[in-house]
Amino acid sequence: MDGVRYGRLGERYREMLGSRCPSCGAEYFPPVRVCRRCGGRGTKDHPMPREGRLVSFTVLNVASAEFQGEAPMAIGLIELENGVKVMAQVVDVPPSSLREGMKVTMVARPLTKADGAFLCYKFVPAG
Amino acid sequence: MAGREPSTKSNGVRRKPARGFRGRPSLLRRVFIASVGLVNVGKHPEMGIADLMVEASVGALSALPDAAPDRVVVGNMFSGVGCGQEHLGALLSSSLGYQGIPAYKVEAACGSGGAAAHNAYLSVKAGESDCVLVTGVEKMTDLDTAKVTSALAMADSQEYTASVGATFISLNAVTHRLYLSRHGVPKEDMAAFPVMAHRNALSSKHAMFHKAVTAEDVLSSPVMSDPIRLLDSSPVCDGAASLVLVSEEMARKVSSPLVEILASEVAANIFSIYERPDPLEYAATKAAFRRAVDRSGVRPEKLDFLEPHDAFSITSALSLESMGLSPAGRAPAEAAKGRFALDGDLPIGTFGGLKARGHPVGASGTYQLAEAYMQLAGRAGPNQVSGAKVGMTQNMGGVDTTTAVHILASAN
Ligand SMILES: [Zn+2]
Repeated sequence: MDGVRYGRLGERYREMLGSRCPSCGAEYFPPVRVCRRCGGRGTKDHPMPREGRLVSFTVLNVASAEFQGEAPMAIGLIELENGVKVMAQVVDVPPSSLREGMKVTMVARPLTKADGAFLCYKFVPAG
Repeated sequence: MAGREPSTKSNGVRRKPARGFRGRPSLLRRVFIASVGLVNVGKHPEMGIADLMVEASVGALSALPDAAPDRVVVGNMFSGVGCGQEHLGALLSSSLGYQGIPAYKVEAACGSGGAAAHNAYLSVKAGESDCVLVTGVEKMTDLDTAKVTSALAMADSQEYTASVGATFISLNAVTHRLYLSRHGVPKEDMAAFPVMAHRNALSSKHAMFHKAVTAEDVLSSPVMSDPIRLLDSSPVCDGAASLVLVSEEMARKVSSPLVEILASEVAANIFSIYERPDPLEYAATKAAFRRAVDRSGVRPEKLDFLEPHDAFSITSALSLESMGLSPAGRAPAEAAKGRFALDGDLPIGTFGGLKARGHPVGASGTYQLAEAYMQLAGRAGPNQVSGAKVGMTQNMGGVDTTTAVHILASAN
């Protein structure tokens, strides 16, 4: 990841900063300008809850060019406590211990070994 | 050459005059495919992206010696990162010796070919064109595996999917796992899709693979992104497929077999699977399919075959089920029982599909349409679905993020 892009996204990545529609209360991550529920165009930045549940997951063995040397990587589809779903890496857990329904917590971790300065939301087992 | 009236009756579908959306009488024109051209799918180090496009295009045009396209539409996903080449519309029209006609590229990730055909269809239907060359093309094998993986991930969010490490396969893998657990589907049943695809490709001249595989082979192949294995996945390859779309007036002047496009529909979904209420719902496929059925008047049970977007085993299952062609959670079991085989109740992937014919991503939509043409023109050789009169194609960009559905019927 280059510095310019991280400059734009860093806060979103570190804090899992999404958005909320003041008209209907719908919450979003990734953030949106236009509310998909009510069509409101005045959404505001809003942090996401850190606790969630693993809906599904995969361990990928073939990584993209930007993640060379990172595979195998566990990628989870996580439903947060507010119902918002995100795709993110699941770390600090052997792949064989991953289970659907498992409770997980968001942490900010270096995006890759090579991009140590760029922190990004990842998930670890809760508790 | 003898002129010929395109039939409104012999395909058994259009007994009434053409109707517009929601039954309004249409003043718009009928659209036919008059010929197709294919490059054999595979690794083509000897051919650049222009060579691929030109070979398929010349193949399609050579069947129509008196036709000159008045528009060129290219379907392609990632020629920019794939081979450093953009501006494909003009590159193709110029390479074919045309000047001054509209020529441009249409992009909708792996659904680019279907979207390009849709654009060409609209142009003929609206009376803006009488003869349109549509060429889908992708040159993937100049890239190494990591770079292809990055290129394919462009189908989804760069900033919130690819940049956090997810790949395109991993998106499909989480839906695959969720599907197995939600419906209690055994993984052996999922393997029926690639087994069938490879069987159909054995006698498919333009297919990449000519090798049968067993369910055991599928389930012991290397894990790409679990539960997706190598043999659940369509291959990285090069290819190009062309169609010539003509108006009714032009159709009377050609001697090649005619296939009518009864409906061409495109729908876009909420962008990423994790933003959708149910990640397993293919809402774009559902919407495009529903509109195509309404517009064509073809009842789904009348389809003689289907070319679905079988990029992965899971996309076959979810595509069939979201169109209501199989009950939820049942498509793999029905596949294992042979319902979708060439001699089954609803043959799918009749030349091997994306899985075994190959998936040169931006070209797959035009391969599907070319294959549908071959079936409906009675030119499918050993892969012929007997008595095929009406068929459908379904081509997705992303995980059902943009989907094009076409319904076609033989018109001879
Ligand atoms: Zn709202």
